[in-house]
Parts: sequence; C-alpha cells; structure tokens
Amino acid sequence: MSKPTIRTAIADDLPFILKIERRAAAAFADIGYPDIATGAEMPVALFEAGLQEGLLWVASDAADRPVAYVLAAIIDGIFYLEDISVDPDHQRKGLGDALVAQIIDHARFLYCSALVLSTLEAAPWSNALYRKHGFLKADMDRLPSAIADRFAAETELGLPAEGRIVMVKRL
Amino acid sequence: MAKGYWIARVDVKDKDLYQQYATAIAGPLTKYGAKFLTRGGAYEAVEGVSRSRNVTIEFPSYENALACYRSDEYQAAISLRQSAADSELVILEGYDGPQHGDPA
Repeated sequence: MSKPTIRTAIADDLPFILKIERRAAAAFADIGYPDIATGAEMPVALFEAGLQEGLLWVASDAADRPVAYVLAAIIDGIFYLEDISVDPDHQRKGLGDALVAQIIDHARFLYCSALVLSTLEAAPWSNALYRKHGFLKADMDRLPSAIADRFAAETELGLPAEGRIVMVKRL
Repeated sequence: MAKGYWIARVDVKDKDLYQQYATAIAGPLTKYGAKFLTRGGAYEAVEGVSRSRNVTIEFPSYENALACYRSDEYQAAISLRQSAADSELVILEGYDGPQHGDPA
C-alpha cells in the first residue's frame, strides 16, 4: 500500500472536512451512541482555529480531496487531539494511523510535554490505534485542570461523560 | 523559476512562547506556500557552532519567501520568537542551473 498523502489543511478543505465529520460520526450509532451520530456537529470555529494555527491536517486522495482529517489544539503546553475522522469509504487504509503519527511528530516539534485525547472506551478503532502509538488510559482524578476543563466542555457539547476516557502519551 | 528558502537555526529557551510563535506563523506560512523541508529531525554538527534546531522552509519563489517574512502577520509574531529563542534566519534564492552529473 502506498504511503498516504498527509498535508496541512487549507480553507478550501473545510467543506470536505465537515462532510467527513458527519459521515464518520454515523459509526457511533453502531457502538451504542446514536446521539453522537445524529447530534450536534463539531463547531466550525474549532476547525477555523486549527486552520489558522497549522493544527489541522488532512489525508487526501489521488485528486487531493480530503478523505480524513485530524484537528488538534495546544492547551497549557499539552498537545490535545480534538477530533480525528476517516471517511467511511476510505477506512482500513492506514489513514488514521498516518494522521496520529503526524500529530505525534508535530507535538514533538512544538516541544509539547504530552499528547492527550478523549475517546469512547467502547470504540474499537480508538483503543487499538491509540495504544499502538503509545497512549495510555489516564486517571480521571488526576487530570491537569486545563484538560479536565476541556473534558467538561466537550461533555457540555453533547459527548457522553460515561464511557469516555482520557488517554495520554508522554513525549 | 528558482524557489526561495528560509534557513533558521534556533535554540529554544521558552517552550511555551515558542509554541505560541509556531502557531502564530502557520497562517502566513500557508498563505505564501511554505513547505517544511527540515524541522525537528536528526542532525550532526560536523563543523563549527550549531544550534539545537535547524529548520529549512521552501517557498514557491524567492519573492514569496521575502514577502512572507515581510508580511504583517509574520512581523507581528517576530517578537515571540525573539523572546522564545536565540536564533538566526537567512532567506535565500534557490539555484536552477546545471548540476554535477547532468547529461552533457
């Protein structure tokens, strides 16, 4: 399999990214979270901030159209994976793997102390992918306050508090 | 047309400020078509004095490389880098001429 093309996103990618987000979210219905599948979309402002700060990457197809993306933010020196989605027609091609590798490289480039994300423990794709890259389940009672605040904000946006975990990779 | 390049050598003193700088310049770098050729990879200082980070960024042209540096967005971020790191930056024009080994 050829190496996926990963590049920083540009403004023209946004409509594709928003479409991928919706299409990929549908998979949550299959693991018992129908509200995520049909719930509120990710705020566009988060993607726009990622564009501006160079913290939004896409994997693109042969025509350079995005088919997967990863969005990150820097919170108190911690590199935070906001969202990662692969279009259902392009899954199982190593795109998620390549995008996670990209953000690990970028977090190191930015001298971040750790990489953090939240995910649903029941999501089969996340445990395998994130553990492969060295992420470990965090103790929810010992999260840095900025990460605990972000977790709470995501819960307010509609993500479930139950069954959602935080994973950490120290750099 | 020959491409343009930034070559920066950096010793970071304040990681938080450097993160702010790196995210602040992403906008102008994208706008002027920048591509990182080297950034945080391995290096070996075989002669002279080196710094811990050596970054090479390619632009579509020398003019773009200069325009990016002179843009309001980049100029607004320079003080962050100067506070975050000891560094040098040179902007240079690429070479489009013949190379050793080219067919005669």
